[in-house]
Amino acid sequence: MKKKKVLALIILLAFACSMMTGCGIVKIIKTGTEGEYTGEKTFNAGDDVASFWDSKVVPEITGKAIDLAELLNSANSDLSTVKDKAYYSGSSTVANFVVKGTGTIKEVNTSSPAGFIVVSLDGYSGEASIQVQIGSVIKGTAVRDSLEFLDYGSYTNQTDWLAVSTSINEKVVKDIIGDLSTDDLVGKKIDFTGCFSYNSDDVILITPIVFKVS
Amino acid sequence: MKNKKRFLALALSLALGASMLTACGSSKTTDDNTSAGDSSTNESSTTSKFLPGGGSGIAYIITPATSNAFFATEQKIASEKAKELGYTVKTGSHDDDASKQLELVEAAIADKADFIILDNAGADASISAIQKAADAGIPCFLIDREINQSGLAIAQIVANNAQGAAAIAEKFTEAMNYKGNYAELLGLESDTNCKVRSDAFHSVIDQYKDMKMVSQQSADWDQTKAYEVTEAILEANPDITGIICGNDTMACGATQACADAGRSDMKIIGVDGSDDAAALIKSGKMVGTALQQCALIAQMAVEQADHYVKNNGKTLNNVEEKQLVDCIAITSDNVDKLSAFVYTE
Repeated sequence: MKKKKVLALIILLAFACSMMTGCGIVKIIKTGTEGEYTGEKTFNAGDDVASFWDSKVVPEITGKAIDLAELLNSANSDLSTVKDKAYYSGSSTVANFVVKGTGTIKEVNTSSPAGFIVVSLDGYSGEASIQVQIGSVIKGTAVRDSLEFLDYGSYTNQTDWLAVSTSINEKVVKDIIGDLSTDDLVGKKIDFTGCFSYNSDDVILITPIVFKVS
Repeated sequence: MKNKKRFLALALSLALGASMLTACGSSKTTDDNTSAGDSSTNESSTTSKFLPGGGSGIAYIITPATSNAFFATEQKIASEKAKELGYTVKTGSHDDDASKQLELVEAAIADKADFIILDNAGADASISAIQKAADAGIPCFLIDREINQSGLAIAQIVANNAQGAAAIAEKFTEAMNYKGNYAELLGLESDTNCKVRSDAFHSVIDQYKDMKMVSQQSADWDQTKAYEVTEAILEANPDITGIICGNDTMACGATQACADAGRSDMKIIGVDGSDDAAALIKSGKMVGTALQQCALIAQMAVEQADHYVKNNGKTLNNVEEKQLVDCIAITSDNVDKLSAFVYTE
């Protein structure tokens, strides 16, 4: 009989404990979001980008990339005619295209830190210069502005929104380009997937998400 | 006895399990990576409430002083659009005075205005005036400047200053051939846009290791002060080849100081897209500026306001409250398309 009382007490205590932990006294707060509760929010764009790079950025871009040669051929030197295939960031009227292609590297330009290669694109014989950025500085916000899961409204302000793009570009240099030796690139085959903002029909400047030299 | 005990243990363990389950459901987890913004935290209930306007057919357009061409353009374009849509337009300037702004809002309430287009007189100081309009059922559509509260105005449409400054900074690095010493003129350091623009400039320029900022000083957005500060900078740092400026007014002052010092080779950029800057870009004395599309923003606000009051509070194309409009980098390549803050393709 005594045993039973002890047992009941133990179970009651365990029950009470479980209620206490369960009732919201312990909140599960993701690392880096503490500030939302303390009010001391410090936004780290690098951490933000790292958290969705593999799971969202790469799958979305590689998943929706269209063939660049086909796009250019169908546009007939005027990409404004194929804007229905473009993506727009919330704030922008600039069209962004997500493309893939293969070709031969015909020039490497590292005269400035914003380096790029010029590609002779398979299946395309038009006038446009097809360039793929290789850093160490990546220009523009083409990747961020092509991603549909990203939304300015989810960020506190313009500065954070810009920082996200800067971090995406840094990630491209570090993870996608990596330690690229530019010495003997000319003549090699290139397989790329990436994004470009439509600023001109003469120069297509692509920020790569896939960059394979062989 | 044994069965009873077993039954008791089972019942208790079930209860325990259930309590844990319900507890898990009610504790808040924050695993949504994209919800970094604060927009959801300070939304008031006014968002969902339809503000029908007073029904008088009058549209109020309230801006800072129109002696400034930027605000004059805003007022002109918004007025034209509202008239085109059949409204009687009343305009007013608050001259960055919150109490004057409140008087204008009260006049709009007395006039039973259908909506108010407002370039406000302060991110915090304007909240009470906008609240007063909302309480009277009159929706406010904010242009150019944000307020520090969401869910009160129906729309907040502002230029993307960070993007604009970054875009023109890219043109600056090209003009500098990615190297050399330069100086920066900051605006009023208490202004949000001063930091936003400066941070954006540096997010681009600082990536180029051969570019070095040797002097950074405030000229308070002012042309005369910019002239004086630039003179002093040139004296202390004659080796600079570029100057980045937080607005066009300062860029004009810096350009004049450089010309007077025989340094018309200086690479200079600003932000805003004023006609004064456009003239200097055309004559090659400035590299470029970032056009804030205030005319487009004013037009968007009126269109959204008209749609909102005529459609029971449905926003045009389901746009969100906070909206950014990108700036356009203006250089000698496209400066001919710019006039009075309007860019025509």
